Amino acid sequence: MSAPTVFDSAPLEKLIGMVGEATVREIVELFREHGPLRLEAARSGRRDGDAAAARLALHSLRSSAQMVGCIEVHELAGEGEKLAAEGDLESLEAPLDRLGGALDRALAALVESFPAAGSGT
Amino acid sequence: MARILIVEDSPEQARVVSALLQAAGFESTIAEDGRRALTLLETELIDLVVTDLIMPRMSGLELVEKIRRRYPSLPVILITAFGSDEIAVKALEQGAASYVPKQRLAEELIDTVESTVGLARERRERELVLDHLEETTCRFELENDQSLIAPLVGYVQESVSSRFHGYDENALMQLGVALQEALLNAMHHGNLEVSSELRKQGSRPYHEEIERRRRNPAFRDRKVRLEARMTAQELVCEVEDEGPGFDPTTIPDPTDPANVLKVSGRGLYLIFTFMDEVRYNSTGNRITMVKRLNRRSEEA
Repeated sequence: MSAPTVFDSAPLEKLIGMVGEATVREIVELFREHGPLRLEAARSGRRDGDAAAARLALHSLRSSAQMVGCIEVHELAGEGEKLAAEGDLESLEAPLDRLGGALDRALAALVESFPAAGSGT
Repeated sequence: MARILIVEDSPEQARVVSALLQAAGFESTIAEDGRRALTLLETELIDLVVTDLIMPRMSGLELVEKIRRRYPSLPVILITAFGSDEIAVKALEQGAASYVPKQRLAEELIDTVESTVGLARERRERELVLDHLEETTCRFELENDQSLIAPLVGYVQESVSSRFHGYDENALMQLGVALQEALLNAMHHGNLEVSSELRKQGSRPYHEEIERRRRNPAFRDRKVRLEARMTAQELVCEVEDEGPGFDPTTIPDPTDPANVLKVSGRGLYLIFTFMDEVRYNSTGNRITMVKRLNRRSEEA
């Protein structure tokens, strides 16, 4: 089985053509800031037995990941969202662990493609 | 320039939407949830709302319901994602104007916003013209065909609804019921001279007699006429039949609730309850019903 695609730059390149590179960098920065927060919110929801909170966080992460082309995160967050929607918090732990790794890979790929403004890279 | 309110709890998604709108020449402001959106709507002039559906504290569906009640002419576009399809259907039923799938925002958002803003503007301009409309009068002549009543009543209700945008839905329904009862009375009792007493034997003999008389040359060519005259203050409906009429002074008090239980008094009771003014001509074959039309916004 082939490894899932971590990052596809096409959605952001398309956005650059519509709203400009500076705005897209801003959007990427927002995702870098809020993506990990959502993963943490999903983990908290699972720990606290709050399926609705976990679902909301994963739904948001999934949608944002899709917008910025983080395909693997989008897919894994979707799996987690489905489990949370079913109230199956027990089974959510493993996907959340996988999602953590996927998010690290995605953020690294994003930094490589869109270095933060003023980072000098 | 149209001003758009974006309701989205995710900052990066809200930024994508605002950037797309800005690039297309729209002004936008962001609310992070439905509650904040409702607060902003109280103080800012907004032409259109673009909202996510799955959000903390207040769902997009709840927001659509509240906007529909408070600002009936403010259009709402939904941003839908996989998993929110069912809520989206409900929100569209509740009055949302359109939707854009989240994965197609870049391709479809601006076209959808532009067309919805255009429609809303056209509607507002039409409402502006209608605000200056002094009077409209429609006249209809019907044969004794009961199936014509519902569409005719619907037409009158639609006319009121278009002229008095935001007119109370319940009052509109009551107006329709009263008009329907008056038209049924004119057809069945006025033109066809079928007595309500026959109903005591059951609905079937009553309707069989109606069908017999509709084919009877003594009754079949009689017409029912409706004149609906609407001004900025009231709707006046006159329903006239070509039957022999009756002495209106013999009608039992139609405002007495005891008549609700009587087979023969129910229609009149509803008419007198739902309309503001009701009168008969001296020969009893024309009923005039008046409904005062106050806009909901003015009542609030």
